[in-house]
Amino acid sequence: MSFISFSFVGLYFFALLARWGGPLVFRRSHGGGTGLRVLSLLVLSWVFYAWHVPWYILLILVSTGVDYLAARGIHSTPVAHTGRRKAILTISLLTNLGLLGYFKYADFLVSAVNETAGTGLTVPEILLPIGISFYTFQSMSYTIDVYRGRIAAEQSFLRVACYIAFFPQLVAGPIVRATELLYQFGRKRHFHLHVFMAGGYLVLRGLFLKMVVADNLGIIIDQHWAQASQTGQGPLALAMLVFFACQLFCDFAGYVDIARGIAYQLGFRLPLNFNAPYIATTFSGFWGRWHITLSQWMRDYLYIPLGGNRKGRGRAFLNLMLVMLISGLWHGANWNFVAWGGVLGLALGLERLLSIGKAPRGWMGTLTWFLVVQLTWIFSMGLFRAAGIEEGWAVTHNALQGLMTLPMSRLDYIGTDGMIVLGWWFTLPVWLLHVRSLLSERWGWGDPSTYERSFVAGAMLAVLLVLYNSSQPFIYFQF
Amino acid sequence: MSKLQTRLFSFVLFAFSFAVVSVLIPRLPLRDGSLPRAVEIPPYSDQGDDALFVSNGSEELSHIALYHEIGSSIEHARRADILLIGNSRVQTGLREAVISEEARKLGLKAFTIATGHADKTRFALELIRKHDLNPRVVIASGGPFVFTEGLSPWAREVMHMNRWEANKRFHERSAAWLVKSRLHRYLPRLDFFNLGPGFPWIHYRSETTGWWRNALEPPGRFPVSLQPERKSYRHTLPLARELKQELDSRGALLVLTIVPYLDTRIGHLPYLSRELGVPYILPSFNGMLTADGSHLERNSALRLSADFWQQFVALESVRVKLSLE
Repeated sequence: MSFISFSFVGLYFFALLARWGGPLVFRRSHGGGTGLRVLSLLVLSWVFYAWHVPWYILLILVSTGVDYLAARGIHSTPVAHTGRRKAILTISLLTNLGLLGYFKYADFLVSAVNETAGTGLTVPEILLPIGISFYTFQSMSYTIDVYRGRIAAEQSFLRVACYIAFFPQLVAGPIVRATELLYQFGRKRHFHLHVFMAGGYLVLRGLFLKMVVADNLGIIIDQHWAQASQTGQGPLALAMLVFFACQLFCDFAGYVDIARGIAYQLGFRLPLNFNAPYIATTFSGFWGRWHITLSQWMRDYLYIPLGGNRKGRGRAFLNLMLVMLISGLWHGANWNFVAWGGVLGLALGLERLLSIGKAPRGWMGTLTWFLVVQLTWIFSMGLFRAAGIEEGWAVTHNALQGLMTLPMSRLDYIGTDGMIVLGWWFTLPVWLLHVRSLLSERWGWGDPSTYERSFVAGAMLAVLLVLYNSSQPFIYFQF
Repeated sequence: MSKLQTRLFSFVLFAFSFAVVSVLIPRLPLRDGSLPRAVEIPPYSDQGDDALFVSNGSEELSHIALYHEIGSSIEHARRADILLIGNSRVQTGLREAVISEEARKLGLKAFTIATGHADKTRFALELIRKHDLNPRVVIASGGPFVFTEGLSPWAREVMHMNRWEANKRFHERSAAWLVKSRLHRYLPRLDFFNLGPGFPWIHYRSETTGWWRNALEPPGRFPVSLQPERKSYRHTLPLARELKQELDSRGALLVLTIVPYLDTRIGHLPYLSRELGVPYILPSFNGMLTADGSHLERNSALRLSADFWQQFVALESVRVKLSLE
C-alpha cells in the first residue's frame, strides 16, 4: 500500500482510532504491552503489506518467525557455546539473505550467468516484494544485536512482529534498530496535541516533497531523459542530473518524513534518515546525512565486522569499496547500481586515504571540496537513473561536457524549453530547505519556531492542493 | 503569550499563508513565461446516477470495469440487442443521445463496449468471449487499424490483473477522482503537462448504456479529411474474419461503419464488406469537425449519429435481425 492512496487514508484512520480511541474516550493513558493495541497495529501493518500482493505476507511471516525463534535461541544458549549460537545466527541470516537473494537478485544473477558463460538459462520473472530490502535488514539487525548481547531477546512474538512490520517505515525505511523501536511498543502514552501537530507537519512536508517536487520533476525527467543521452545535449543532461538529484531526494526524504510523521502521530519516534545532504562538504559527511540509517547499518553490520579501519589504510580502503559496492547492489539488481556504488566508494575511499575530510581547510578549501562532493553525487545520478551502464555513462558524459562548456554557453537551450524552466522552479523547495538547514547549523538560527512552521505549512498545503501530481510510485519501493 | 494565544496566532499565520499562496500560485508564469492551465473539473453528480468516472486523459477505468466485471456494466451488456465495438472515436462519434435513445424508442437496448487507448477489435473479442455476450447486432466501427491484431499496453495490463488488483485500482482511482472533483470546486488545479490541443478530456461512463459522458471536451476545431487509400486492405481481413466467425456462432449480425477523423481512410469498409458478406454504413462526413484532430466535436457527432441511425434501421438484414416492422 502506498502512502499516497485512499486505501492508506482508511487504514491510517483505523490505526489512529486503535491507538488513541480508548485513551481519548476514557481520558487515561494506556500501556502498549502485548495488548489489543499492539495486536491491532500488527494486523494493520500486515494488511498494509499484503495490500500489494497478498501472499507475500508469508515472506514477512517467515522472516519474523525465524528471527523471533533465533533470537530466543541465541539468548537462551550460554555464551560459552559459541558454535551453537553462531549456528543459530547463521540460520537466521541465511533465511533472510536467501529470501532477499531469491526475490531481488535471482533474475539478475541468471542474466549475469547467461551473459558471461553464454548459457541460455531461463530468467525468472519475479515481482519484487516491496520493501524486502528494508525489512530483511531490520530483521537481521535484531538477531545480530541479540547475538552481540546489545539487546535481550524479546519474549513477546507480537512485539517482534510489530517491530519488523511496523507499517510507517515498513517498505522504505528508515531502517530502525530493535534498540530504537522495540521498547516503544510497551511504553505508556499520553496524547499531546503539539506532538500530534508536529507529526502532521512532517506528513505535510513529506507529501509536499513527494507530490509537488518529486512527481512533477519526474514527469519532466521522463520526457527528456532519452534526449539527454544523445550527443551534444550537455546542458540538458546537466539539468536532468540536477533534477534527478532533487527528485530522488524529495521522493525518499518525502517518504521518510511521512513515515516519521505518522509514527509521531501514533506515539512512536523514528530516527532521522535525511539531514540536508546537499550541504555536506565531505563525502563522509554526505553519508552521515543521506539515508543515515542505511549508512549506519552498513557500518555496524558490514564495515566493522570486515575489519573496518583497524587493519591498515589499504584494508580500510578495500573494506569501504566492498561496502559501497554492496550498498549499490542493495539499491537495485543491476550493474549500473554496482557502478554507482563503486564510483561513490572510490570517492569516499580517496577522501579517507588522503585525509581530506579531516584536514583543516579554509573557506576556499571547504567550498572547493563541497563542489567536488556535490558534483560527484550529481554526476553519479546518471548511473542511478539509467536503465543500464551505457545509458548512464552517456548522460553523465554529456553532462560533464555541458559543465565544461558552461562558461562559454549562454544557456540559451535551457532557457528556451519551457519544461526545463519549469523544472528549475520545482527544484526551488530543495534549495530553500537546504539553505534553512545551513542557517540553523552554521549561523545559529536554531530549529524552525512554531510560527515559522505554521506559515510554511500553510504555504505548502496551498501549493500541494494546486500543483500536486501523483503519477509516480515511490522510487525506493523498488529497492 | 499563553498556550491558547500561541495556537491562535499560529493558526492565523497558517491560514494567511495558505490564502496568499493559493491566490498567488495560479498567477505565476512558471512555464516559459506562459501561465499554467487551470483545469476545470465539473461536479461528479452532473453525469447521472449510473455514471462511473473512467478517465481524464490517463488510464481508462472502462477496461477494468468491463474486463473484470466491476459494477453493472457487463450485466447491461448481456441484455443488449445492439452492441457497439470500436475505439474512442466510436464513443465520441456515435452519441448516446441519438443511438441509445432511438434504440430505446424501438424497444431495443443498445450498449457500447468501445474503449479508449486506441484499442482494437481484439479487446472487444476478448470481452465478448469472456462474458458470453449475445447481442443480435454488432456495430463495429473504426479505421483500418481497428481490424489489425493487437492490444493496447493498457488493455494487456488490465487483462493480466487479478480481481484483487483490478478492484483496488478501480476503486482507488474512483475515490481519488471523487475527492479531486470536489476539492477543485474551491481551489484551482494547475496542469503544466497537458497543454496540447488534445486536452482536456474528462470521461464518465454510463453503466446502463456503456457510453462515455464527456464532462469536458477540448475546445479545438479541426476539419475531417480523407487521405488516399492503400493499395490493399488484406491485412485487416484475418481479425475481421475471426470477429465475423465469433458473431456467427452467436447468431449475431455484423455491421461495419466508421466515425471520421483527420486523414480518414475508408477503403477497408467495402473490402471487408465484400469479403465477409456483411453490410456497411458510410455516413456523410460533409463539413464535420473534430475537437482534437481525432474525435468529433459534439454537433458533428450528433449529426453523424442521426445519419448513421437512419441508414442503420433502413438495412434489410438489420430489420430482420431486430424484428423491426
